[in-house]
Amino acid sequence: MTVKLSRREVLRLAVLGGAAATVTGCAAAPSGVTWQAIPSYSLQGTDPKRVDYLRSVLDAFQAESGVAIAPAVTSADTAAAMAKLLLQASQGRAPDVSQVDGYVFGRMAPYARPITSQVAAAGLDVDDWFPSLRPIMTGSGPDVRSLPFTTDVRVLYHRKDLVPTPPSTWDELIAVARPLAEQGHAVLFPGGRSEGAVATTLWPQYWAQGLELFDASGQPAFGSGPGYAAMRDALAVVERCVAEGVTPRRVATFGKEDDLNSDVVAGRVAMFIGGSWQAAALNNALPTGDFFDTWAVAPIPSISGERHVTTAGGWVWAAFSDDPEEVDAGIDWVVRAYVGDDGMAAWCTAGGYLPPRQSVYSNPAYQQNPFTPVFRDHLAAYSRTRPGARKYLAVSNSLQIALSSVASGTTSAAEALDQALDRIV
Amino acid sequence: MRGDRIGRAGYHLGQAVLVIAFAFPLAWVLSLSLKTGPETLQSPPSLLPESPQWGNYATVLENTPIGRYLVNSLFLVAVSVTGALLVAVPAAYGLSRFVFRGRRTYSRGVLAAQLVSPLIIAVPAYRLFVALGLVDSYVGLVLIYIAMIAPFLTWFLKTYLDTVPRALDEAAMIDGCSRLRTVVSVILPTIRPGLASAAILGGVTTWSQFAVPFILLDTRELFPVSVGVVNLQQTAGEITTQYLAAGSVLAVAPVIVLFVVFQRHIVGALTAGAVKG
Amino acid sequence: MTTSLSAEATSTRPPTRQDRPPGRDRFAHPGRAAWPWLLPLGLLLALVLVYPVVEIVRLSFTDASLVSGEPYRFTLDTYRSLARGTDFQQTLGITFVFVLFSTVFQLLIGFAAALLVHGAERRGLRGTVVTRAVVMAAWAIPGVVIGVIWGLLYQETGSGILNHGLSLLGFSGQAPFLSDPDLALTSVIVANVWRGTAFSMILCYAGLKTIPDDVYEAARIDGARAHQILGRITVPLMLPILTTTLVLVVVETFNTFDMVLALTGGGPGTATQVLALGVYDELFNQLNLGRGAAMAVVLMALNVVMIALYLRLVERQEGVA
Repeated sequence: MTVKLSRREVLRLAVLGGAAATVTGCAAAPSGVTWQAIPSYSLQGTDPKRVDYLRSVLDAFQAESGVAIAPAVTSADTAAAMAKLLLQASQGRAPDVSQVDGYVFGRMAPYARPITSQVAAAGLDVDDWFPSLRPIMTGSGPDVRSLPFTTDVRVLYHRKDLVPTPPSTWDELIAVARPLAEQGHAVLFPGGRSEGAVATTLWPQYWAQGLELFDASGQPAFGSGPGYAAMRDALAVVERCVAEGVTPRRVATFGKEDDLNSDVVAGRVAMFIGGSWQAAALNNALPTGDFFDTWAVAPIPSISGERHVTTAGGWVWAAFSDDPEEVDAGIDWVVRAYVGDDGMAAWCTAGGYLPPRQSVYSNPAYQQNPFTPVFRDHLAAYSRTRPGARKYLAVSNSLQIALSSVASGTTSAAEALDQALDRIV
Repeated sequence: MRGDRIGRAGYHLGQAVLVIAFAFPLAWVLSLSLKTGPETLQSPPSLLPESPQWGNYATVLENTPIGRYLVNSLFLVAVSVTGALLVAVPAAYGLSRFVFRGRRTYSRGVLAAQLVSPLIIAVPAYRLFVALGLVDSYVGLVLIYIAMIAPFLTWFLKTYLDTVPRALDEAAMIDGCSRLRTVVSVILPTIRPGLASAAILGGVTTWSQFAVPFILLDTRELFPVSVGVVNLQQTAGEITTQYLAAGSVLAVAPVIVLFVVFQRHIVGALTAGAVKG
Repeated sequence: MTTSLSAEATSTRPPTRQDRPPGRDRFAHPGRAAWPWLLPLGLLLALVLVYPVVEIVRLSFTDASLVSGEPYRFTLDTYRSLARGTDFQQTLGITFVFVLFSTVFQLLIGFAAALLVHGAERRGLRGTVVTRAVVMAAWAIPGVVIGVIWGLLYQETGSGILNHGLSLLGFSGQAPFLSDPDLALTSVIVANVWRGTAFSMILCYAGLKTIPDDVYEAARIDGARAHQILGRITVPLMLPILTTTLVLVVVETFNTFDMVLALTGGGPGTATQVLALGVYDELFNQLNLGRGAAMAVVLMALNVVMIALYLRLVERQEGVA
């Protein structure tokens, strides 16, 4: 069982290992323009389609331009990765060109380089982006500082055989869902502690009541009065679904929208609220491959049924390099792979994302899935983006906790909201 | 004798329960790592994969630099433990052999230092290291690791040294050795078991660090395995339980192999260190 | 830790090594000669640890964000919101439950495992090597990986293995391991006990080895039964080691968050949000450096209380010895 090693041998092994690590460590030192993406948007994703696309474009780009691109990847916990990036940017250490989650870009905009001229040189027109995304591009100033290159929208997915007519209000939804739940077909939505959960489940319900998250002075607008009532009612929707038994309490552990995919694949779901990107992934994951035939898409139900709102998200590219040449080269690269006509069409096709530029929908290279026209309509008709207020992250986090407590079926909506308000300094 | 047979059976049973309780989670992850995506969703789950999907490991190895992370971790552990011993041994010797003013303050300071949470260090250290140019390098990281484990090792070794008779130092010094010489050629060989157990305790602590490397390192190629493996928790719309499991197995296997192969030495060193102490 | 190990050893061993109290060497080694030996560590700690601690205390009185360019002002609001908010009291409560149960079970199981392995060894039984190796393997796994592994075990759908096991035993097989607040805390504690037992086992095992065989022999000759030996000899002799282990495990458990982060992220709600995880969450999910720092200061204060208790224990034991 035991291997006898003399102390000297052990020492020698350790030194050898150390030396090897040092040598390889030096060889891997980054050079050229650093390009940082989140894992699933990088060469280290798990989807061969996307990785193959990126690898071939990168090789071609480097060969043609002579620019060396040094790929970097964030950690997969994208919320923490964005916090880290913000820390880096504020210290002048952010990667030369970086992928930023649209909703945090407002905080990062002061550190991002203006790229108006590069955008013009690439023949891109700011007015081609969806109007709801344009504030993210310019921040508060006149210059373009970021390039949205994917977007998405949250919708209600329903199984056509079980729910032929999608409900428009939560009353209708619960009436339809109750008998289905008894047969093991649940209504799911992310109810855990993550940005995706509040963006999917909570904000649309609040916004649909005609209110804003922040007042003009940047303070939370739901501390009292109609804002408070609206937020409480939004949380009460979740409370009710759980209490009625149409939604299992384990949604309190679903952080990411994707966490409910395995239930959908296993056939345990009648309806769910999810992101537009999930359709393509689910179609691939279903053994039968017929997601687009058996499921349909509708607006997220609201309390009144009169007005529907949904959250649009998505990712942007921004340049942080001090060196103007690196900014040029970095923007050239992301335009080539993700933002330009061909790049956006190819990337959004490979990943199942919605193009944030309207002209790309008519690009023949962009392969739509059967739901894309509906998503595009929702994007135009119902979508909103999250506010760039400095307190947004604290508010979001505090209400993520509230959402998850309510979804776990142990805290009432009002109680959870009161506690959430206490947490916000 | 019958009582003894029952006693033996009891010991075997107890050990079996322990082994199952501690091995089962790892065994289950191993099984998951060899299943197909749909198999991981099966309800009820099957204990073993239908046909082992070794390709899952190939996918993980291809897509993530997990081997690299392991090498990084080993390197960090080796350097940090060595560095920590280099400062801890003299300090332990000083505390054990000298009586001086401020001894109590010094030793309490060392004790208090071991209780500073890595979280507290991470953010201020990041800002400081940006100014010093030490961010995203092992130099800064190793400095922090050493500062985090050295206090504990100092205490451990000080107590160990207290058990070594002073007559040994004195004899060597009478023979004309300098104090430094005495420590290197007489004391160190005597406390080898203590050094070994200190190294293992410090090594395990370093190996598990998460917050500090997560903040201080930017380049993915430099990540230790504790940070790198979090990246396997991505889903990006795909069902990746089997990859996550395979990644976990890869992250854990080398250490377990090390512990199993060397466990007689490790337990020996740890108990020798503690017994003497 | 080992100061009390030495006290323990003192009480069980013949006085061969404690025959030279430190004071005897006062004149042989004048004080100043000590500093060259102590300086490297002292300097390193001052350099690497003191600045961050001072900085965190300063920042805890501000509303600074993690973004260093954003302006901030000095305020007591951070502490005020901690004192006022029900969530922080809840976090403290959860932390104490987590620490209490983690520690008690780690210590109990660790001690039992040590007794088992030690006893089996003394009887020359086989399998102890495997037992030790398997338990210790859990100790060498980074906390984040442990969180991932237990997350897979606790899956709440029909595909989860623990739920499947429970259903075979006649339970519903639908245990909400991670989504029910109370059960989630239990689940987190179980995973943490799994992780930390090895450490207690090693220390206890080492302690058991210090008890000479003739003590047992004498007891057996006197006709003592197994449980009497355990209660009257083993446990009293092991008491110092057990207290040391206790303090070490308590401090370690107060500071741990990586496993919980990977397993539940603190949820559902804040049901598993221990203090250290709260600090992480405040800093890296909300970028609230000020409030995060204030929570970190509270965490530090708890650690200081622990160390003070520890010193008092050690000094009392040394006084006895």
